[in-house]
Amino acid sequence: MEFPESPPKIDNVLLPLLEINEQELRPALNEILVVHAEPIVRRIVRNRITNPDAAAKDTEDLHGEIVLRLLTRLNEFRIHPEEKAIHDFANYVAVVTHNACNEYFRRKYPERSRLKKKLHYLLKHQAMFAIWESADGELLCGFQKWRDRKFPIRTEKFQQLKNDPQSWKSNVSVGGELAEFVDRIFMFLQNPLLLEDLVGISATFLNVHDSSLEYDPKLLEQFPDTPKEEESPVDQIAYLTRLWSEIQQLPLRQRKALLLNLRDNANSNVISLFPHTGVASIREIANALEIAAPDFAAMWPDLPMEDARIAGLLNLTRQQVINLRKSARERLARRMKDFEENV
Amino acid sequence: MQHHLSETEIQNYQLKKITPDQLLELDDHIQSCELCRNRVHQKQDDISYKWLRSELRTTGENSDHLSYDQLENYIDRRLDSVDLENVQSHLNICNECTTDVNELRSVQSELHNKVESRKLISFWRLPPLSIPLKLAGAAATIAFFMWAATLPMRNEIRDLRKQLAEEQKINVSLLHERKALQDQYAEIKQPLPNSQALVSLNDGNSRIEIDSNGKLSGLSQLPESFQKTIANVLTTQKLNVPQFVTTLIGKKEILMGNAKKSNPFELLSPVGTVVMSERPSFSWTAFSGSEGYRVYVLDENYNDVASSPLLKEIGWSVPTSLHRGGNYIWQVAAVKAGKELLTPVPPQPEAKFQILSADKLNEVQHLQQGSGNSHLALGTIYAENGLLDDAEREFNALLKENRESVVAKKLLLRVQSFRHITPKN
Repeated sequence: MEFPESPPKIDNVLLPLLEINEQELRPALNEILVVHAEPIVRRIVRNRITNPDAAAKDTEDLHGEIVLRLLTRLNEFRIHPEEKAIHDFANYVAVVTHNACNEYFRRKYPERSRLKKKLHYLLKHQAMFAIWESADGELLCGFQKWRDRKFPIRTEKFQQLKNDPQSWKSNVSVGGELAEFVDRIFMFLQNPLLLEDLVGISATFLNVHDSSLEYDPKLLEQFPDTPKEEESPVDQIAYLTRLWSEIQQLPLRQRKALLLNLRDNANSNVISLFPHTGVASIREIANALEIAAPDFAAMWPDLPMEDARIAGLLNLTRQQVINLRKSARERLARRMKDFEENV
Repeated sequence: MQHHLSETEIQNYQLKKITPDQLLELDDHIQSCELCRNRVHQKQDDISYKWLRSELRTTGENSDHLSYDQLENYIDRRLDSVDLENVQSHLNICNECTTDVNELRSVQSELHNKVESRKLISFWRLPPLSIPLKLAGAAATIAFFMWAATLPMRNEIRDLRKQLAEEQKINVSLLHERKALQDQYAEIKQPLPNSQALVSLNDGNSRIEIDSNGKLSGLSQLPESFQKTIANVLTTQKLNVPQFVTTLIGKKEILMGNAKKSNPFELLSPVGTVVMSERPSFSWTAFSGSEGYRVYVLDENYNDVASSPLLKEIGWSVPTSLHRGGNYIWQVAAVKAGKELLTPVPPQPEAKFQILSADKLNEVQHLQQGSGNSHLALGTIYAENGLLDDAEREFNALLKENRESVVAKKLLLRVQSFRHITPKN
C-alpha cells in the first residue's frame, strides 16, 4: 500500500538555488550564508561560549564546522530537492548550530558535557527542581517555585561561589549525592541560575575536568596525508563482501530503508553493485529483505525507491524511514571504519 | 542455463528490460559464471563503488551522538519503536553514549531512592529571617519534629494494619482449606470395602479413579512413571511445583518514607509463572481514560528486549521469539494526556515470567500427547513445570466437572495459594 504525500515545502530563501547555473552558484550560496545564516549562527555561538579564555578559538572552530555542515546540506538540497527539502531555513540553521555546539563541546569537554546531561536529567525529574527557558531562550534552573523568574540573577553570592568556591566549600561539605549538592547550591543562591553556570560551578566542586586536547603540530607532520594506491578488484570485493555481511546484521527495517533507496549522486541504483560483483545475488538480497524473490525481482527496475513508497511498505512515516536509513549508515560507517583500519 | 549470456541478454539485464523470472534466471547464471559477471560489470559500478565508500567515510566522520532528548526519552522509555531501534542500534556501536546512558540511569536510580529524604533536607535549610521568626520557627520546628518523629511510627502502624488485613484474608482462605481437609479426612476415615474408589473424578470424556490400594484407572495411555505421579497427586493432593518459580513471584519493595503508591491498573498474565510459548501474550486491565498502552519487555538484567507500538487493546503478543529458559520482566505504560503511567511501579512487585526451556518443552509436549483431554493430567504436568497459569486453567476446568469434589477444589487451591508464597531473598 502506498501513501501519496504532498511535495515537501521549500523555504523561499532557497528557491534561487534550484534555478541558477554553476557560475551563479557561488554568489548565491554566499548570499544565503551571509544574509540568512550568519546572524543566527553568531548569536547562538556567542551565547553558548561563556568562557572568555576559550572564546576566540572555540568560536572560530565552531563557525567553520557549522558553515561546512550548512554547505554540505545545501549542496545535497540542490541535487535532491525533493528528498533534502528544507521548509524553514532559519530554524534549520538554529538546529544545526545548536547540534554543532553540542558535538563540539562534547568532543572537547566530554566529562563536563556528561555532567551537564546528568544535571539536566536531575533538574527535569526531581519534583522540587525545575529547568525552564529564560526570556533570552537560555536554559535556567532552580527550585520549582522559581519557575516564573525569567532571568538569572548574578548576586554577590553567585560571584562568591564562582570566584571563591573554596570559602563555600569549607562551610558546607560537598560529599553525598548529586541532588543534595544541587539542593545546597540553590539554597545558598536563593535565585535561579543558568544551566551552563550550574555546570561550571558543579564541575569545580565535584572535580570534573577534561584534559586538554591540544595537538602538537610536529606530531601531525609525522603523518603526511599520502593518497592510497588505487584499489584492486580483489580489494573492492573484500570491502563489498564485508559490507554485505554488515548489512545483513542490521535490523530488518533499517536494511529495507537502506537497500531499497541506495542511490548515488547521479541517482543511480547502487544496489546493483552486489550482484554485478558476485557479492550477493538478487535472490540473496531479496532474502535479506525478507521479500519473496519473484516479488523483489518485479521491484528491481523501480529501484532506488522513493522514501514515501518505502514508508508505505513499512507502514511508517517518510521521516521515520529517513531516520532508519541514517541510523543504518552510521552503524555501517563505524563498522567499515574498523574494517579499513584492520586491513 | 548452460550457455553463456548473449550480448542482448547482457544488455537487457543491465537495462532491466526483462520479466522478473528472466531477471532471476539471468542473475542465477551471472552469479555462477565469472566470465558473464565480468561482462555485466559496467563503468557505472566503479562510480557507484567509489561513491559508496566515500559516503560511508563521510558519514563516519560526521556521525552524531545521541542528543540529550534521545537519551532522556530512552531512559524514561518514551521512544516509539523506530526511534528505540535507532537508539539501540547506535548504543551498540558507541561507547560514549552507552556511558551517558549508564550515568543517567545512576541519576534516575538516585532520584528513585532519595526523593523523600531530600524534602526533609530542604526544609531544615530554610534561611532564618529574624528572631521572632526564629522563635516561631523553633516552635514550629518542635511541633514538626514531634510530627516527623511519630511519622514513621504512624506509617508503620498503617502498614501493619494493611498487612494484618491481608493476613486475615489469607487466614480465611486457610480456614476454608482446613475445613476442606477435615471433610476429606472424615471421608477417608469411613471404612471402605476393598477396591472401592478412594477418589473418583469426571475428567474430559473419561472417569479417573484411584482405589484404596492406590491403583489408578482412566489414564492408562500415560507412561507408567507419570501414572504414579498422578496417583500420588490424587492421594496427597500435593503438587510438586519447582522451587525456582518462587523467584518469579515478586516481592514488594520497601521504600524509604511514606511511599504510598498503588498500580492504576493491573497486569493479568503472565505474572509469576513459566510460559510455554516463545512469543507470550500479555494481558492487563483497562485504565480509564487511557489513549493507548505500550508494553515493555526486559530481560533479568533490565535490558530492553521488546516493546509494543501504541496499542488500543488490552493485550499484545511479542512479535519476535524470546529466549527459551530466559527470565523476563514486563511493564505496561498507559498513555493519558501525552504522559505515560507505568505499572507495576515500586513498591509493587515486578511482573516476572520465564519461557519454558527447550528440554522441558519436549517433556511437556510428550506428556501432553498421552494426556488426551484430561484436565487432571495436564494440570499436573503444567504445575510440575511451573506453568502456573496453564495449571490453574486446567484445575478450574476439572473443578467445573466435579463441583462437589474436595480433591478438585484442593488442587486448584494449591496452585492459587502457591502464588502467595513470599520468595526468599
